[in-house]
Amino acid sequence: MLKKALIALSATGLMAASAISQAAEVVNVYSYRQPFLVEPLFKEFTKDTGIEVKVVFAKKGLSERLEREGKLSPADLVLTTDISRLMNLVNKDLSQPVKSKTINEDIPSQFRDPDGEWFALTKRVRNIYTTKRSDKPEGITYDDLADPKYKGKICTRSGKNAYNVGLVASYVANNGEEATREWLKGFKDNLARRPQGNDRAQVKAVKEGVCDLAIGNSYYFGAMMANEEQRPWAESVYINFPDQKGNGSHVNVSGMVLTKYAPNKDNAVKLMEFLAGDKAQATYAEVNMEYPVNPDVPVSDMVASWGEFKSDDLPVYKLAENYATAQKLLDEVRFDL
Amino acid sequence: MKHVPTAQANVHTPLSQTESGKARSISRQGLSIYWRAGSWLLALLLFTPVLALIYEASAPTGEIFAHLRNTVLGTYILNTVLLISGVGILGLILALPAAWIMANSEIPGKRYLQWLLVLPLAMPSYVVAYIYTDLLEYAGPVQRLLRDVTGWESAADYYFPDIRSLGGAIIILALVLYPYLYLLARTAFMEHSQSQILASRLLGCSPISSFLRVSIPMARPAIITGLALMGIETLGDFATVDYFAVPTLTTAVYDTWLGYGSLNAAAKLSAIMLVVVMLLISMEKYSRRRQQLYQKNTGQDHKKASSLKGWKKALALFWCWMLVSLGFLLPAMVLLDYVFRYFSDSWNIELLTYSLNSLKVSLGAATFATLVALFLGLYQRLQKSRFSSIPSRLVSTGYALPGNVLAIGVLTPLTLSDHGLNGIIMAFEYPPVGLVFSGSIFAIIFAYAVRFSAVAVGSVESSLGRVSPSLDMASRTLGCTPSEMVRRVHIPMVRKGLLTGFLLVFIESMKELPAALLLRPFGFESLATWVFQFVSDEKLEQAALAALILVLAGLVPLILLNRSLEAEQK
Amino acid sequence: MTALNISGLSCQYDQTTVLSNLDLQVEDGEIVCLLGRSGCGKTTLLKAISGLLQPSAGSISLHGREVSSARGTLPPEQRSIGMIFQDYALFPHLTVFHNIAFGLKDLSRKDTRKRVEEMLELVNLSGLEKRYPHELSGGQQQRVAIARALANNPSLLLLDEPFSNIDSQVRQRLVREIRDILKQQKVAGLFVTHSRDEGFAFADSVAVMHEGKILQRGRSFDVYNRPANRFVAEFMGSGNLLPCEIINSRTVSTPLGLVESSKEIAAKPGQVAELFIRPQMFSIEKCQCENPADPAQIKSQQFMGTNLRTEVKLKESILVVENSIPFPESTAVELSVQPHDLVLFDQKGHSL
Repeated sequence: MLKKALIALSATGLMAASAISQAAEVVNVYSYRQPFLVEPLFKEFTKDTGIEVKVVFAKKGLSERLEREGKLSPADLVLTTDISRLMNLVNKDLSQPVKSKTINEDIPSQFRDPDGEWFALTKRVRNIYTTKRSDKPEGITYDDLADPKYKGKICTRSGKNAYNVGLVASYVANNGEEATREWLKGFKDNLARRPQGNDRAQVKAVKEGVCDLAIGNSYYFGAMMANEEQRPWAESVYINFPDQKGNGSHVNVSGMVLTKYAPNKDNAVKLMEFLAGDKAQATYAEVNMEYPVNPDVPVSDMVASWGEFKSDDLPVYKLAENYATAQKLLDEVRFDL
Repeated sequence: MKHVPTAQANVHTPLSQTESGKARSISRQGLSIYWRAGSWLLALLLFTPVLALIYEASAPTGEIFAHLRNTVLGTYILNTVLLISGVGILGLILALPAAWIMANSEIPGKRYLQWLLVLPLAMPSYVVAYIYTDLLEYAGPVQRLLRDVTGWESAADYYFPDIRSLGGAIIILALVLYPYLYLLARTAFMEHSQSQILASRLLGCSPISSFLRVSIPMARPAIITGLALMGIETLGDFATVDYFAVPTLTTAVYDTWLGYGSLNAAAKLSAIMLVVVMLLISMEKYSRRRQQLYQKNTGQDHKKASSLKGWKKALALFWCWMLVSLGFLLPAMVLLDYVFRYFSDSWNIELLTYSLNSLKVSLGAATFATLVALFLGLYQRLQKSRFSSIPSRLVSTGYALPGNVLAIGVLTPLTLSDHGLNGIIMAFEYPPVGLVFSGSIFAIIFAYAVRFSAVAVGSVESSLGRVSPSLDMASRTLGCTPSEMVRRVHIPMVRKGLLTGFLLVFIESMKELPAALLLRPFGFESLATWVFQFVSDEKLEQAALAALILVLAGLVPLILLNRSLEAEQK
Repeated sequence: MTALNISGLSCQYDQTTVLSNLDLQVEDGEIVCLLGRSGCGKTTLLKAISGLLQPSAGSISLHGREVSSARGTLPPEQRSIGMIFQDYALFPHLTVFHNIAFGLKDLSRKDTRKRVEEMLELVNLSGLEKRYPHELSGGQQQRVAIARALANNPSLLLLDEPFSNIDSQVRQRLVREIRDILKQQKVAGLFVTHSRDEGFAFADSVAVMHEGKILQRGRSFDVYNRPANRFVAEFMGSGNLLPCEIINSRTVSTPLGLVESSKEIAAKPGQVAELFIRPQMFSIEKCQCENPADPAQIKSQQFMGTNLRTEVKLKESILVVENSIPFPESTAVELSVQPHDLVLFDQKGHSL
């Protein structure tokens, strides 16, 4: 009996172990970014170089996994959706510097670490969408979100979402903790409903008349326009770039980090160079409607149609520094409750 | 009962030749040392993730805790308590009448209803949540119809309850979790003898008051067990409450971990939840102790179900079909509708691979967990010492942890083993083998075993508990060694319990999400991870086929499960 | 030869001593009944004999071979002991045939079948081998259990309250049948029960057990009539206790007057003692005297099937008497004790 049980147990183990395979030319990616955003890029890369890209997608815990795997980790590259996760990887000493002339030429210095520990790939703006039931507001600001005239008219996703925490962190960096608290209180009072859903769901809510204002990233507007079912949602709102007369619109970045023990370092650097290069940056721009960090790559026509805008020139690493404070303040004002 | 302290005692005693021969056989009196050591090792192995988290929790967490307490923790706890009690109460309201109807009366289509009522268990709660939101939100068909009929124009014109709320979460979770209670209560109601019900009727109880005053109190242990299971599942749920934006303790765990970047504080919160679940589990254990007494006293009389007539029949039919419709048929039809409308989007040749992956992992986890449950259950029965129940309890703690936190806990021992193994191999100057444990589907299977062993352990334990101790004595005196007894008596007799445990773990593993998301190896996609990816992106339509396969894959084991539980009655 | 020899046996169960310094012998072919109330340690003793429990002191030998001592115990499967249980302990997942064949290991298929058929015939259940236990009545199940236990030719059969789940009408017949089977197979048996009637009917001799000790062991007739102490006397059947004083070696003085003993009394004249009289040792006659000094009166009577159970009021006390003649209530009667071997207890309750 005992023997049978042991045999069965070890058989389970072996079956699992045999699932591991090793391929010749690969690069392994841990991605916080969703598959449909990055998979087209990887396909392109494989087509160009013959290097296979293997991916694990997860929204949570990849850095913990990387940390525990240590030297044995198969991961070469980590893709993140915002700056705080990039910095988090660097601070945990899970990254290694990359000195690549190609990358440094493609990515302007304010969008990469001076030592080359992390690189931003795309910029995303935190926009305010307003309903077309009324006129497009002139000179809307993030401060307006706390203005009592919008009481009961604003929709947003959870304050704890990285995009919103980033926005709050930028507010903290620009205006200090005290002012941010007051602003958040006013913002919260103006909410039409408890924060819920994703960015697109907020635009949908505007269409449905649940609210008049919605917070959302720029590229979602593009994504909605490209989706037959969602186009009416996007068509029901104006896209506004806030704070044009002040600091400029809040910008966060998605980015990449070469892992400390990357086993396929050369391939990984090739992938990084590819992602920073014109072709991939153009895909980011055309397919994902994001703003490429590579200044040589133009934005897509649709994105261009939203107009020029001034972005907050706060260095992105400042966001990461204020991330915890932002989180704390969101809890203090019970933003989600 | 004290057991022979093995052979050492004999070694020191000057014994004749024949007696030293005896000494060897004497050492077989208790369980073999392998079994005893194996049980403890296995239990500790499955306990390591929890241990890793306890270790994490012991690190200082600075001000985060105080800050949380001062701000949102109270609301999170309140929400958690409301959610669990709400799901429990609604579960009682939904499940008990259905269970009683199925146990005591004859209504048309009972044969089918009996297992149809179990099917909501095959529905992943996040899929049901998504579908109901789609139906009931402002733009959904229900409100649209309402507006068309009444002429209201916008959300401001009328009140409609928000599905994305605590209440909504309670309803959805109760709808998919009530079968736990239904199954257990039905079994208990069927075990009650006709004479007990008759006695209460002769003493002046109407059928309703006989149900309230006799049937329910007698079924209390089963009901408490069912409630405990629902409570634990609710506490561990993240996908549904996240989708409905209802912050609970699980939310707090993720906030502290991801928002504040403190895994230590998150582990500490998980430890609190662990305590809550341990309480629920001991409540369940306690009630089962009583249950054994009840079962011994049940007579052999088989009662006949009375056939209902008139409005009673209509009401009973309505109730059962309402449960089946809301918990299963309606969401399944919506899925089917999605599949037809979005077939080209949701069809994907890879689905076959995902299905096989799901199947592989779930079968592995179910086999692993069932073997663990059998091994430890027998250890507990045969090694009657004060400590022999500890391994089973240790193994059950994993059930208490939210999947994602558990996944981190699982990573720690697995990566440590990987490092150890590679260290050894490299010391002999062989090339390293890489992440054999944490980088393969073994990690997911192990995580599921840690998370769901409790379910299998419970099932095997209750089934072993029904085997009279005199059968052990009978088989021993008839010449069986302990291991022969296990093979010839115990295993055949707990087959049903093993099957039940296996199927439950299988169904749970098919649906499980967070651990699979984090622990999966490169390129690994299961049905659940595939579906959730689209749910979280608010376009389930495009994964409808995968979701439907997921549900169908759960149906077969559920129907088998129901049949096995029914057969146990006879 | 001695089938079972227990000497100085002590057993502990969770730190409480359940058996203390217990001695018991069962001879080959003898059936011994272990009588005692529930909780007296009967079941623990059976567990120790079957090898499921390790004694803390003393030893157990089967046919001269030591199988249990504080040093170690031979596992049950190597003891060649059969056991019968209150709940029959039949394996519900096996047919009658396979239940009986369960312990038959080294036989060929043909021999197994032959042996099972023999056993079924022995217990009068031929033709039922394909049934499952739950398809049989209680009495039939117990007979299957007997067949199963005897199939292996055990040297000792332990019976743990085997008849307590059986209807009283069937019980008497079954007790006799099974006793005959044991006698025919010449198996030594140790039978545990709390019912003395079963014990009398089933066993050659009885051992009365109380608080982990054996108080008295002997032929049932002897134990009934010459109980070693008050506990045994009362346990073996109801009786009346009367204060008395020894007059001489043949006579005691009681509230009923002088009572004669058929045997010599082992106590000095003048000693105070208690006289234990079984209900059937009285005779009642209607009082002839017109005006008796201290009349005994009939308090109540109830017909018990063979005799009447009569309660007689004598001064302050009530005596229980068995007689065959009905009297109206309150009849004044004269009570006398038939001469017999008197049972006398000293102050401590020990037999004189």
